[in-house]
Amino acid sequence: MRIPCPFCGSRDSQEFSFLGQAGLKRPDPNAPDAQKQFHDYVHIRDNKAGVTKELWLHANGCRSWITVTRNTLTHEITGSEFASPLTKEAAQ
Amino acid sequence: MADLSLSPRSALAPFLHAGHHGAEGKIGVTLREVTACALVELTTFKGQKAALAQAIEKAFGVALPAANKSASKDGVTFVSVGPGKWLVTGEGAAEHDLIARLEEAASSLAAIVDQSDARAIVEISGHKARVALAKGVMIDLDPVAFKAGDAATSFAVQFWITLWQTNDTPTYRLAVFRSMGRDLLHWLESSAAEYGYEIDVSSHSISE
Repeated sequence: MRIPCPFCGSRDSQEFSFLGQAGLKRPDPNAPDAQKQFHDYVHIRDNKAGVTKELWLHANGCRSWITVTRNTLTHEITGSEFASPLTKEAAQ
Repeated sequence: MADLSLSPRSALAPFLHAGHHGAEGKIGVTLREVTACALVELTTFKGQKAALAQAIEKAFGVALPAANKSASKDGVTFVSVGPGKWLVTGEGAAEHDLIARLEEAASSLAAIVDQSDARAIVEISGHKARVALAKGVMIDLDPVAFKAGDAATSFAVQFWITLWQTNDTPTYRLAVFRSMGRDLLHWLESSAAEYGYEIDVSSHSISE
């Protein structure tokens, strides 16, 4: 599998390590239902069949976190971007 | 009293066996450890990239290279290794004052970290250097895709490498974590054996 790194270009997936679903928001620990929210945040995933957003680390490359858009049915990767706006700014 | 002065030691000297090895009667590849070379990692502070590029251009007369590129002038080479990050090498006259020059130019714009004793650098050149490297390096080294001035951080033979091409001979330089240097050398020797290779220690100025 090839992954398009927004900094390095197309690279072999061996250079990357996978974290999981992108876009998770850490809940407020002071919320009244914080325990349930944290349970969902840590354990509950969509496990979608189709287009997903995933976090990958280009560990053996430029060492950036990137968000990859991948179709779990076809493994087709349709895009990637820096996960952090700071990294994006530094790359420009 | 014991002499406590510190002097650099070669990462590879005990493992470099000077002379010709591998296939008889030909030299396709020359391997050399790059010593007497200062190494600094330069990482831009938040929002300071444009100012850093200006400061480096003023102090070193070279534009900070974009992704997958390197740029050299007067013994100083900047190799792009990530967003806002460069590995800087200094050789010759630039070896001893590299970090001071960088600090003078950019200490308020970037993190400047001495890596001189953290990496081993091997230079691999010759008309078979490309094919010998291609056996383990996963990026495309064909001259159409990778030329002098091009650089990459990638994965080769199970370790993280910084690779850049310095001329069209072709000559490449590979920087790895110092403790990986021996394994890198072992792999390069195995890979180059079928083409015949020479280990050049003529420039080895650092004591074992």
